[in-house]
Amino acid sequence: MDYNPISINTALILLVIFGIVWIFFGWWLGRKNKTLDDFMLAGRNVGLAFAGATAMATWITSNTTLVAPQLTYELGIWGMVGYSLAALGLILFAPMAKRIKELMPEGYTCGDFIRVRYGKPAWIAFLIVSFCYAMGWLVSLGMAGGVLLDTLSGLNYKVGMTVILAICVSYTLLGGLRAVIATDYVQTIIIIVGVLIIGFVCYQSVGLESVYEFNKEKHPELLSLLFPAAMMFLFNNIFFGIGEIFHSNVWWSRALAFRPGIGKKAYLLSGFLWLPIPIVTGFVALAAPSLGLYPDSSDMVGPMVAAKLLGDIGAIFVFIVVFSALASSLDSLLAATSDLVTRDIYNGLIDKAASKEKLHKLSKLVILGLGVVTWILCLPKITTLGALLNFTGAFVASTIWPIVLGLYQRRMSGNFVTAAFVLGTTCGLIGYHMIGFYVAALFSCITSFVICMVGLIVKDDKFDWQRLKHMEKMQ
Amino acid sequence: MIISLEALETLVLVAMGVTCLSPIILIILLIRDWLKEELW
Repeated sequence: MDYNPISINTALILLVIFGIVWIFFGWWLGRKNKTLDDFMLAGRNVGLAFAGATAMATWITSNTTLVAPQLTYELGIWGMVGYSLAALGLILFAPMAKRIKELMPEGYTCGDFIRVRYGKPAWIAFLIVSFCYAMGWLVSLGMAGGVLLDTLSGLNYKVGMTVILAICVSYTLLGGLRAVIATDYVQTIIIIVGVLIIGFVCYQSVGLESVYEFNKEKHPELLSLLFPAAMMFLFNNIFFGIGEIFHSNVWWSRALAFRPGIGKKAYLLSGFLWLPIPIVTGFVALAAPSLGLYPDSSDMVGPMVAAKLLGDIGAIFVFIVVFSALASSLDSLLAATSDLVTRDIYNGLIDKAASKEKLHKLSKLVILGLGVVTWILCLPKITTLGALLNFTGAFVASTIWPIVLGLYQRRMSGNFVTAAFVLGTTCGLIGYHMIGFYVAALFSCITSFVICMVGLIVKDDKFDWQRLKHMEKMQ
Repeated sequence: MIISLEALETLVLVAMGVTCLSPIILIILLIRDWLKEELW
């Protein structure tokens, strides 16, 4: 279906304007970065406003604006409610953010924690899980950028994806986490106002009652409260969301970057403010059938409904919202993954004596390298955004219990944690292929939980918390 | 068994109401942090 409500020229003009603004902003903020701590962790003193907004903006990804409507379009009410419950990850991470800052005030990454807390085998297994997830998310975001531009303007997928990646890599490279956090704040406001206007116009012009009556007659499964696959998705998505946040360096680096005493408040605030957003974006998708919209690619249902309701100007509006959502997550992920590569792989495995100045320079090169790798992986548009995202659920859900128990339980041992990562991920992938995407995280989390519980019963690690305070180097 | 119109309307309106509050809260916090020189 050809559906290009804005011209290629308009799309390119918008990209150039946003590109210049964000890159200048990144450069301007980056001038204050003098040390590795400034670049990687924004000086470790971020206040509540920026902290709350960055956590919220990062969690409002293209997936919230594209996949939440897609899942509502495919799974109905439980799709949007299930997606919104991913906010539980942010809310439950709030006390952990406080604990992380207290336990390892000099730490840089979640890899630091796993390495000191559980030892090398668990650390390696964790890094593999974490990179599979990070690359899955990066590729999903890069693809989303190309798909967005292709659908809204007809701009070639590869060109759109390349331009969006280049903009995000540039300002992250210039400004580090400080630029990421400040742009996140502005992007959060743009996204929320945009989502609200689209939701409000949909509510006013189509009407909830007509959406409800149309779906009740033609697509009753979308309103069903007993849609088995959708209910499985709901539980799966809770575990997936929790796993994504608990293990990912995107969230750990923020916990370490926030001013002492801010992490818990910031994550609670962002969780409660994020919770309703997928419901608003999902509701928009419920209106698609009654508007006669049946998109070829279901992840474009949200933008197509919005463009239909708001006309040509509305399409520009949708473009700005989804672009902001994409950029706010892409920059965070680039920065956090670069920290993992620099700190854990280079400094942990290759050059253990590297100075902070050297790591500072290297982290910029890594951001650039990650951008190139993501670009190459995005070139063949291999799958839909939702499918790719849910595939990574098998990996991340295996980390939930090892992370939680590692932070609060001295008994938990590294051997069992390694087994929990490996077997949890394996069972999740089996579930993904044998049953469906909606059980991958569920299977992974349950397997990991059983192994961790056995580990707690049979072995006592007697971990000394002081070892985390000064971030022991790898032997 | 399908969701009732009233339940769906409540869900959507509450979600839109809370979403309305978000930018206001974030702007107030930004001004507060800026006045207290606690942005960074």
